[in-house]
Amino acid sequence: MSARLEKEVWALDRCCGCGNCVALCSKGVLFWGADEHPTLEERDKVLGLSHTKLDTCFFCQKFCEEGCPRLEEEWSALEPRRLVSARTKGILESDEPSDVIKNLLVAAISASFIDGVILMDMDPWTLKPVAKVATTVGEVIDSLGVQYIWVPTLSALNEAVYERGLRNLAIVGTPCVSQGLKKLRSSDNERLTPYRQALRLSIAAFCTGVYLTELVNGFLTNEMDIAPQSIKRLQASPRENLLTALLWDGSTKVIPLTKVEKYTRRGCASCDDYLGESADIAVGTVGAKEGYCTLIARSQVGEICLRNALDFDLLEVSEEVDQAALSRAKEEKERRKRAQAFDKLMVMMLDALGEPRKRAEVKQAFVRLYEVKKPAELRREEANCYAACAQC
Amino acid sequence: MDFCGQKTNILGRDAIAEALKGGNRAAYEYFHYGLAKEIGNYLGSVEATVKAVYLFEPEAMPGEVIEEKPSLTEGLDLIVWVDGQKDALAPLVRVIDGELLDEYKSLLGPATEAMRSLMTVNVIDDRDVQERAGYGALITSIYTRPTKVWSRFVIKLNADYCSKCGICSTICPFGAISLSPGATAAKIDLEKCQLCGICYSACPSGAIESAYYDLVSLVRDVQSSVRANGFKAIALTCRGSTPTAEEIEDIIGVPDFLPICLPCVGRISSEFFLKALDMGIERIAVIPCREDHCRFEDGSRIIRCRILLLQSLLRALDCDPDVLMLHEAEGPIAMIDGDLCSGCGTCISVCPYGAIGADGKSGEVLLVAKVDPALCQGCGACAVSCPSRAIEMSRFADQQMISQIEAALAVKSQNGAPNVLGFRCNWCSYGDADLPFDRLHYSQNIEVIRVPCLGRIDPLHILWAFLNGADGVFLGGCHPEDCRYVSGSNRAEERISRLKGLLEAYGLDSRRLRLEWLKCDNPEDFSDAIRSFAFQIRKLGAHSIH
Repeated sequence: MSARLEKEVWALDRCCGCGNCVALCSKGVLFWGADEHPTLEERDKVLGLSHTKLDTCFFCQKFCEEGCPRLEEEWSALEPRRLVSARTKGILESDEPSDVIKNLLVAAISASFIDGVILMDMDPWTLKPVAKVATTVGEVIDSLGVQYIWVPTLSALNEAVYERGLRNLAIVGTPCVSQGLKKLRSSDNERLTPYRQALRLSIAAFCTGVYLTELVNGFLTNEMDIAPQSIKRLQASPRENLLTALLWDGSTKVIPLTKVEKYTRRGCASCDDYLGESADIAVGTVGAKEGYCTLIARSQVGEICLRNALDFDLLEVSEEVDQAALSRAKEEKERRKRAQAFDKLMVMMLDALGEPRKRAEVKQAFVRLYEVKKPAELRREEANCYAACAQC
Repeated sequence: MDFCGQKTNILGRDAIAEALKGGNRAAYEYFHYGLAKEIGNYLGSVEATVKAVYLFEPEAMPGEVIEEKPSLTEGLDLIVWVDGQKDALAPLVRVIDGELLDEYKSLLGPATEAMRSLMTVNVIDDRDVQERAGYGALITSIYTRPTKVWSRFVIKLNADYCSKCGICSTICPFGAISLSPGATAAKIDLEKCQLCGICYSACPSGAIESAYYDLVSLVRDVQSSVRANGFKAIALTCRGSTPTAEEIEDIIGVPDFLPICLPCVGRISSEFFLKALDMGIERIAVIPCREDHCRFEDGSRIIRCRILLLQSLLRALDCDPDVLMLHEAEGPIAMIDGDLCSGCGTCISVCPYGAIGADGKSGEVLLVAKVDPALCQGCGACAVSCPSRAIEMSRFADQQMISQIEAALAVKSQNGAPNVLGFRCNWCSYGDADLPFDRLHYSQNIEVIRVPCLGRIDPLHILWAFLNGADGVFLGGCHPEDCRYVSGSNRAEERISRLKGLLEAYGLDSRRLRLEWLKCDNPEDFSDAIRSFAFQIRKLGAHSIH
């Protein structure tokens, strides 16, 4: 039954679009329609003149819920085991996170640690982002790499695991993709074993939220005259209120960040993971030494993978990392815990409609959430007052 | 032809006959409602030219049983608006009337044997509507729900008095009045008219008539309140600015005043001010919206010019010009709490005025949103869309809304009648809305909360109302095309239809939540709609949670 997903995730605009539910659905009745969340296929049974609407989710073991990262209450972050500034070495010297990730993957494939990887690429015909299964070094290098454009990465999971029969799979995506994978790995459902056994490595890019494809294929193309295939990377700098498009020819184009906000996926508004805290390896620009990007290995697998890339001499690292900047960025995104609390409140309130016993609990939560919301000056005054009291 | 099937089903055919015999006014009212709908559907199916069917009924309140038996024929008008050939349809309508009468007699017994016809039938066409411009506006309402608006008009140009001076056509902010060279009088285009009443206040020959906030009723209200309460001051405020009583007090400087809230103060004529001063009023504060925020384009500017003129007139007459004061008020605006903003950017794309931008204090990776108070018009769309509810509306803060909801539902009805909570947009059903003119008498268990726009209503507020004992929640707002805040009604519609889906999913009948579009031109639309909603809720009964 996708009822829980529908009620608690899709209807509240919380879907992160990782595509896990679509991949795991045992009946294949979920698909990506026009919405920002998957759609449940409707099936009719026709017998003579009678049409019966079938419950498409009937008799299912709720695989979709097993994988949905948004149904998890609390994420315990994996502690960083290694935190370094990294840059690529060799033919291409670059501090781009996507290049660093590619080199990690190239090294891992070369050492036969992994036999395939799911990552983002651009469809050469439609110029739209797609999730792609790459199995060779060439394919990895030719791919687009990390872009903050939404693509349901995990939708390609079945292709990788069942069609291609890959047994050592790496997945590159946003932090929510890693959360979905973490949830999948910790599931004890036997039917999901093939996936669990195949998943070896999850790599996440630091993420503030992803944009919809319309940003590139509509806004940037029409209003800014930037061809989708010429964009190397989009980079947001909130302090200057600018979105910078780095192009392959080395030039840059800038747009006010506030102009493109409407292309942000709505589901990102309640995500609080910036640093990819569920991924084996997380990579991003914040906090790195000049000319480098930050790399966090959070598990043994991640560490092995990093060491492997260093052995292949494809990366060079420095221990110098601005931890304060990292924790500032983390805190900023963790403010979205409040948005999560409101989503939870909504679900609680709806629940309480049917169960009067829950009302007291809802009331408490409601009052607590709204109490914080006093005018900022008033709160500051109160804080000052307490500070003064503490002094005497 | 089924006889009012839809409505008689409420209690069963026999039961409603009993109620009618017993003289229950509510039964009569809904009887009529269904009657018109049936006739409308029937005529619509046989005649493609039928545009609308209206049935105007004797005044009645639901749940009210009165001593004397109401007569069904009294004041009952059926109006069928057809496109073109009205003569062809008239006999058909008369036949229907006859059939209905027979049916009615069989239902109610011999008491009404003497009746010849059930209702007065009028078949009208476009020309009739044009001639009676005022109610033509009401009929162009996309809702063909029967209401008793026949006798009313909102704005009407009386050709007999029109001196063709052309002032109205120049002053109308929407270009709705035209004066063609050969015409005998100016003409109001009701498609364009937004019912601001500015032309009414400007016409020197009194050829334009207005149904409410007209000079006579305004003067009468002032007179009666001066007599009853001894007020010496008046505060005229705009819907858009809606200052609180304390703020008005600060502006006007005296504690006792008569507040008059209008859709636009631009509709007040100079004559009213002079009459008021003549009646012994010592202070008149006019509080329009900011000029660039005026919902009727020129309303604030026009009243400013008028006040300046009047002040110089007073000065010339050796009177104190300061008895008239003009104070542009800030409307409600949104404020973002930078400590709570998590930089998702939702509000930036929601704001219809582009008033939200990035704050200079943005963080490492996420921007902090900030409202430009000069651009914000206070619709509240951002406050609802903010996932962390970090945005606060002045005058319509979440805390205020919540306490209003709680207060409205604190008094539970004693007679087992359902608790109905209504939200009403500031900009529709004017006649109902403004306090000193509040001639509405909701029954005791219908409470109404005013909001700047339906876009301000948070699904959480509605859920909170249900959890606090509301059996039904009603939202009345402007039609999306009439929305004063660009996209407020559209957003409300989307949110409410989603919430309805959720309510169904969690086992609450979604009929307990209703969103209805109201035209701003019919003062009684809102009360009609909410009463019929309350009737439906009564049928559904109290919901299980209580």
